Order: sequence, then structure tokens, then C-alpha cells
Amino acid sequence: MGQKNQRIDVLEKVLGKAKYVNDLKFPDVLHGAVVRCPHPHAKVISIDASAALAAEGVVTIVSAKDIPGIPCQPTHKPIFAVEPKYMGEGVAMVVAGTLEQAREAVRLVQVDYEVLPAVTTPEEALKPGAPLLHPNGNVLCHYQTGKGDVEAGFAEADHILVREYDTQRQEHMPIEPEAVVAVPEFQSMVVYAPTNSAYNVRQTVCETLGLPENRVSLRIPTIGGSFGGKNYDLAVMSSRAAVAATITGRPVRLVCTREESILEGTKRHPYHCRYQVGYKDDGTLTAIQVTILGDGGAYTSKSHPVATRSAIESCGPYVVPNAHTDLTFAYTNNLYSDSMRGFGSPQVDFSCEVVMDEVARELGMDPMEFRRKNHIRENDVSAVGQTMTCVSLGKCLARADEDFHWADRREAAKASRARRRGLGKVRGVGMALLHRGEAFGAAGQGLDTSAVSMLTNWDGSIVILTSVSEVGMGCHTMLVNVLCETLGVHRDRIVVCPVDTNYVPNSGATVATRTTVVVGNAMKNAAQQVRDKMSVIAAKELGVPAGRLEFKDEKIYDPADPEHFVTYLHLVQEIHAQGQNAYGHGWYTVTGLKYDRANGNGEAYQSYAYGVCMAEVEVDLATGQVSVEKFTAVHDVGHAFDKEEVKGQIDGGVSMGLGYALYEDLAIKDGEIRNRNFDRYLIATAMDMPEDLSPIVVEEPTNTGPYGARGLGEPTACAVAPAIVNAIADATGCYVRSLPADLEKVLKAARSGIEDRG
Amino acid sequence: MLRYDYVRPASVEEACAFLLKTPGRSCPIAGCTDFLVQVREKSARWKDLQYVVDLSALPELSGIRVEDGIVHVGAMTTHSAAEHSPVLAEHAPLLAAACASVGSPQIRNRGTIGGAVANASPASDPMPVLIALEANALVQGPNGQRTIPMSDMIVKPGKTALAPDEIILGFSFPSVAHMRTVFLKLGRRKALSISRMNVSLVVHQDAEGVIDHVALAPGCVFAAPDRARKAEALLLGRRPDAALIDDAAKAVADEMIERTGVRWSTEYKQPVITALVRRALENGTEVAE
Repeated sequence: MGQKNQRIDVLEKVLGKAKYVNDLKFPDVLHGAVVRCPHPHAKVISIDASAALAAEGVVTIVSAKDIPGIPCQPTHKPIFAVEPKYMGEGVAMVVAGTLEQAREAVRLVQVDYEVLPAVTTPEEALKPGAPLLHPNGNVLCHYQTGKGDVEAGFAEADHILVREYDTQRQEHMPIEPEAVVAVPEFQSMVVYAPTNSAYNVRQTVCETLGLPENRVSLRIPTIGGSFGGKNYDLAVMSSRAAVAATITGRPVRLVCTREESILEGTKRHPYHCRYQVGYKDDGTLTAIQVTILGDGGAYTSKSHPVATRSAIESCGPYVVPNAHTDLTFAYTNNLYSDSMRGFGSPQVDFSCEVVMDEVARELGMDPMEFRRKNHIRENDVSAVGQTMTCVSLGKCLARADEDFHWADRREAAKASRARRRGLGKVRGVGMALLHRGEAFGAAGQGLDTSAVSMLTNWDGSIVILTSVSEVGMGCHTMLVNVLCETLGVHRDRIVVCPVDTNYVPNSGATVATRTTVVVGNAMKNAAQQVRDKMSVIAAKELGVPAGRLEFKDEKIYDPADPEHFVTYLHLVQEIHAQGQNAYGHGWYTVTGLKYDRANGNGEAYQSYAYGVCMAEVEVDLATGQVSVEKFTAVHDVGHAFDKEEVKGQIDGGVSMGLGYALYEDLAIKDGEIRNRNFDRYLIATAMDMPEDLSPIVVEEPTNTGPYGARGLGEPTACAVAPAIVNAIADATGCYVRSLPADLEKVLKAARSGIEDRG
Repeated sequence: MLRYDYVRPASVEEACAFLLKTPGRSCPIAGCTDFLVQVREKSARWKDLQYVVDLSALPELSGIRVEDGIVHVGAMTTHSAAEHSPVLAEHAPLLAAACASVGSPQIRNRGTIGGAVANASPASDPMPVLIALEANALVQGPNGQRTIPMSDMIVKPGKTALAPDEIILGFSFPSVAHMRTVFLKLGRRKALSISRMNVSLVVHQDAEGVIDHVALAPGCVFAAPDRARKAEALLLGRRPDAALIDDAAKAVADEMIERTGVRWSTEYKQPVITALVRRALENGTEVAE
């Protein structure tokens, strides 16, 4: 356990000292419990709270009529619904002295509903005459991307393959369900919420309360996982608690049970994808046409940027002269879809990487050779017309092959099948490539900017001020690393200030794999300002040009004469002695993207992350059981600030991707969720992880991230499922085209594979 | 919110007397790994519940021992204790294997075999094993003790043959140390998995290789765990070969459809139970060349 590389938050976590929201105690705190709509679509006619109000401990009941500000932005999920659009949506909240009293009283609230017609599949939702969820119709969004002329491309093709794929609704399942506390203070509100996005949650609370943004403080306690889920869900909960805190004048705590978290919280969009691929006998791609229909659920939320990312990435990292993607999300009376680790990538990564595998199989080509032939390289043009730079797929493939020994394993797997025709356990190998745009990109919503400040105290200690949320992956440690590399200071001098929106500048949300690239650059700019101030003094004292100075190990010197140095601490104190400050305020904005939104063409992202996954599975042809035996996950992080941290992130992504591939599926029928806890919603356990897992770090720098770094959080979970499903196809001879590849579907594949093989 | 009175009787008699006094309003509890989940989910089974009767203070209900070739397993034996029992490793390894496959280490440390039986889950792991072992449950009520054959224990899913004022003291069965045994479990993932299906097999072949004893109990196949009598009848008195094993395996699937009808799950279960039984028989018997 090297002290040097320890995460800055590790000690307080392993010692049990970290304070999660439920560890925070407040005098006179009240407890909320939400009254939920039992119908997928209904109108609240009346709420009779009299029996609940008479119950022991109940202080008040709040609902839509009590919202001082606005209930929501148009087509977004309201804080309390008057026309609930999915089963489990909150219409009111009981506030009582204890949690038990609040939950008991929920049953006493009489809500009179007019049940409205519901539509629970996107296909039905888009039919003429379908019940409307929002005034402008059930099309949530429609995007097109591409380049060239797909019709001409198909005309040139020797073969055309058409395949359809389905991906499931996935739940985030952080270990900590959503929880908040709102504490009223004099003319202001303090909200404690473990969110990935302090400023966005604050904005919603302000809109709900009708308060200016400086009257609401959003504080982030230690968070027990997010995976993209602790965003608008927490904005809604924070607002509910804040409304009740405003009315009662007392702190109000609102905590979800696991069931409530699953019932009301956002999920990953389910997709139905149709891929049409034109290709020549030699494996050259001539055209790809993609049609996607996604289930956006009841409200808009972040469907637009999810959809655009999917459309942009839908044709994969391949050279194809003609491409067109047409993507539609529909509103349905299902719980709303939103951001989840991958944010629109895993669905298209699965579909595209499986269809590429199918094309290779149709051609009788080794899937590795097929990908080597077709993947993008430096200065190739992407499927949306962007000239790609800093492309490291070739390097990633080579590193993956070094570890996995693709050809040998593929041969051995083939031999295992030859030995065991029929009902035994057989092996198969599969792979998937990954490219993923970093940060919001031109197709995202709003500007992608970030601020980070640093305060250097007279004793040399440093406080970093940032609103970026440490959701568990180590991003605060990453900022410390960036600062250390820039200023050459020791890590133990640095503390990251707890997030409070009234104290720290807006660094943006911990989303979109943007933190390392965007927030890291803001940190670097802040540290550079301090470095520049120090350089002036050091240059004068040492008698060398400022540009030649190196900052290392708390010494500042000319590398040509390292014995002649000044110390970091001396420079801090000299700055103070001169009546100046050693503060830095870094700002970073993603600029210069030329993207044509209407046609979905141009510079979509300023940089991309690349990776390769390879899987070897054992499939029991008699039962459909799949065991992932070997997994190689290669990710180019540009510059690893901490390799062990990177490997840990990759391991976690493999675990999540493996669950997406084989187990996870939110079972929803007619708007009702059947599996509402860990007993029936199956995620991958430690025992399901591959016995042999190799997380491999590639460091090919980009020209955008700090020290060439690329983001990693989401890419790790994106290409796992297609690698596994392709390996299952290698083993069984048949592709599972709908996730998850559970026992039943794999057995079906195995049986039809046997028939295919005769 | 849990608001039950907690009772911890000092003797089996006291426990039965309390259950007799509070019909339908009390539940004997052991490890609570099923009970608490059901309470939290507001199961209709416990809607009138007022008292939980903790059996952990009763020494008669614990311990695993073998006497005169009969194995006795106390009802309060945890799955972990069974998993690591040297007695079971020798005399009933398939029971140890089944218990080792239950849930997670935490669940196995709390959950008991008696509790699993009393819960009467159709997906129980130890239940089909006890049936294949031809075990009897020793139960005690206000009027004394009686034995219930395990094959009669589950009346229907969630309902046992126990009277409301009876508790299970333990299970006994003849040692199968001299026989071949197999337990196979199929789950949706590698741990913390409820059986999709399982197979328990106890079999013996005489010196000529003729099967002179066979008990085959598939789990999650019939409405309640039970022996597959048709397959057993095919096997008994025969020397197994590939064709016989195939016939027996198919007979289990046929019996499943005969007894439970064709359901949405049949498309999957029919070929898979056939394969699992075939595997169990291939592992459990010496096959004539």
C-alpha cells in the first residue's frame, strides 16, 4: 500500500469515518414518505389527507399545490405530479416525526384518480391515435446523422446483411439508494444530496422554491455510487424535501427504499435497432444504415443528448463511405429513461459490434482480421464526417492480442467444439472495439465548461475548490494528481473542499466521461496560474529564464543545474511577503467544434476514447449457462495519473458490462415493474467475474486532455456485452440478438446453432 | 415496520404450548433468511402475525450425528454447518453440496435446513436432497412427536404438512456412504442464485452393475419437490447404458409435462431437465460399455 498513490478519500472510507447523507444528524428533523400513483397514467382528481393528518406524528402533507415556484420545465418530470405518467410516480409526500409514522400514513392518504389510457411500448406510442403523454405528441426526439449516399453504397455492395437487435432497460443499482435532507436556514435553504451534479440539482430546487440561486446551498456528502443515476432523481427528491422544509420550517429527510429507488428512478433507455450493412467480398464496407427506436419513458430528461450520442456513435469506429442513422425516442407510460454510465453508447456498441461480427462470419473472415481491415486510423473520416486524430485502436488491438492471444484461443475454442459436439460445455471467443466521444460534444446540450479554484495558504497547504462530485471513481484524487504534476508539490499538502454550491465554483457535473478531460484541464489552468506567479520569482532568484524552470518534488530549478534550486514553500511565502496571492482560478471550455446539427455531420467531439475488449466464454450447450473465463479489457487513457486506479475502474466497468450482457433486465409489463430488489434484479456478483481478467492500460496522449489524458469512466462498461455475446456466438454458432443473453436465449441459440451446423 | 412480540421458549414443550395458544398468530423462526424477506414484502402469509417464536435456545434442534447407520440432522443446523460437516461429507455428501449452493456466505451462516423446509419453497436446494435421501422429519406438537416422510412434507408451494402448533426437531435418514450421490444445480448466475432447476440422485449398483437402489428427485420441476418415480422405475433392476440413461432422462421431462402441463417455461425446462438428469446419471452410475 504505497502512501503516494493512495486515494485521498480512502482512509476515511475504510475507517468508517466518511459521512454519507444518512449519517448526518439534525435536531427536530422530519421524515418524508412519498405517495405513489398505482396506475401507469392517471389524473389526480383529489387528495384527501384528513385521515393521514390525524395519524400519530404526521405534521403535514405536501403536493403539487404547495410548490412555491414551478413544478418542472415543460415535458420534464414534475416534483409532484397532477397527471402521473408512470406507475410509482410521486403525487404527494407525507411528513411526520419518524420515518415509520410517515410510511404508515402514506396508506391513509386517499387519492382519487381518473385512470387515463396508457401506452407502454414505443411502437404503440407512435401509432396514430395512441394516448398522448405530452401536448406535442409522443415523439420525444428524432435525430439523423451520417454522410455520403447510402443507397449508392448499397448498390456497390456485393452483400447486404440486415439484422435487428434489442437492448433492455437497465437500473443503476448503486449501493446507496437516493436520500436527501433539506435544512431551512434564515432566508435560505441548505440541501444535502449525494448527487453527481450539484449545480443542476440546485437549479431545480431554486425553480421549485422560486428562490435565486444564491439562496440555496447544495452540499454533497460522501456518495455511495451514482452510475449516472444520482442526477435528476435527486433534483426531484431534493425539491420535495425543500418544499416540505419551507412549509414546516424544520429539516426534512427523504430516503428511498431500494424498491422505491427502482420504482421511481431513471433507467437506461431500451433500444430496438435495425442495422443494414453493405459490404464487398473482400470485407470492405460500402454502407451502413441504422434505424433506432428507443423508449424514453414518461419524460424528456436527458434523452436528447443520449439520443444524439447514440446516433453519432452508431456506426462504430469503422471506415465506411456512406452512413445514415435515423433515431427516434418515443414517450411511453414507463418510468423515464435518462443518463446511465455509457449514456447511449452501450446500446449501439452492442448492436454495431455484433453486426460487424455477423458480417465477418458471413464472409468467413476472422473477426479480428475483419476489424483490422476496417477500423479507423489516424486522419480517417468517421461515419459522421469527422476527421479523427489521436486514434489508438491499432495500438489497443495489438495490446489486447498480446494478452489474449486471439488466434491461439480461437483455435483452442474451435477444438473444444469439435471434441464436444452436442450437449457438452464448449468454448468461444469474441471481441469488440470501442470508440467513444469525450465530454458533451457539439451534439450535447449547453456549453461544456468548467471552473476549478485553488487556494494556497501561507504554510504551503492547498485547498482545491470544485463542484465536481466524487462519485466513487477517484476524480478528486485525479484533480490532486493534476495539481501535483503541474506544481511539483507533495500530495499531503492538498485538501479538496467539500462541495457546497455557495462556496465552490461550477465545475460541471460528473457525467459524460468529462471530468478528467474538462475539469482536469480547469485544474491544470488554475495550477498553471500559481506556477506562473512562482516562476517569475524563481526565475529572478535563480537567474534563469522562467520558461526553463522545472517544478518537481517541491523544488524549482533549471534542469541543466538541478543543484541550484528554490523550494516551493519559499516561493509561497515570498508571494505572500510581496503582498500578492498564490491563488489560482482555472477555467476551461470545449471550443471549436463545427457540427451541423440538422444533418448530423461534422466535428462531434473534441476527442475520443478508444478501447478493445476480448472475451472467452464457456457455454453449456445443454443448459444455456455462460461462464466468462477470460476477459481482456484494453483502454487508452492517454495518460494514467494512477495506474492502479485506472485498473480498478476497468474492473468495475467489466462487472457492470457483464451484468448487462448476461443478467440484468428490468422486467416491466404494462407499466408495472416486477423485480424491485436485488433478489430478482440480478447484477453480476464477484463470483461471476472472469477468473482471468486483464485490465490493460494504454497511454497514447491526446492533444486535448491534461497531460494528454483521456476519460475512462463510461468506456469501460460499453464494449463488454458485445465481446461476450460474440464469444457466445462463436461457441454456439448463433447470435443472441437481444440482451440479456440469459439461460433461455443462450439455450435457444445453442440449439439453433446445432441445427445450423447440422 | 416490524411490530411483533418476540418469544424465546426454553423448551420444545413450551414452544409447542405457545404455538397452540396462538393459532395463526405466531411463527417459529430460525435464521429468518426467508421470513424477514416475506415480512418486508408484506406477504399475505403473515398478515395476522403477532408473535415470533425464536427456536435458537432449544438444544434438541441442533447438531449433526450418525448412530447405527442413521444420520440425524437438527432442524436448526445452518447451511454453513451442513456444508462443512465431516459427518455429512461421509454419509450424505449431496446434502452438504446442496447447502453449499444456497445463497451467499451470510445467508448460509444464518439460514437453517429446518427453516428452509418449513418455508416450503418450490425452489429449495436441500428439500429435494432430503427426499432423495428418503429422510423423515421428526416433528413435535402439543401431543408429542411424530415423523413425516419428507416426500409428504410439502403439500403445495409455501405449505407444509406441519400442523400450526408443530415444530421440526430434525431430519433422519440412512447413511448413503456406500452409495453414489449427485447434486446438480442450475442457477442464473454463479452465486446468490435461486435454483432454476436442480437434481438430487442417490443410487447403488450391485456387483453386476445392476441398479438395486435409486432415488431421483428433481427440484423446480414438479409443483412441489418429489421423486421422479417413472424414471426410477425404468432404472431399477437394470444395468445402465447410454440408451437407458437417455430414456430415464426423457421420462423425467415427460413426467414434468404430465404433472404440470405445458407452460411458458416448458420450452426451456424440457430439454434442460433432460440434460441435467442425464448428467446426474452419467456421473452417478457405472455405465456398461
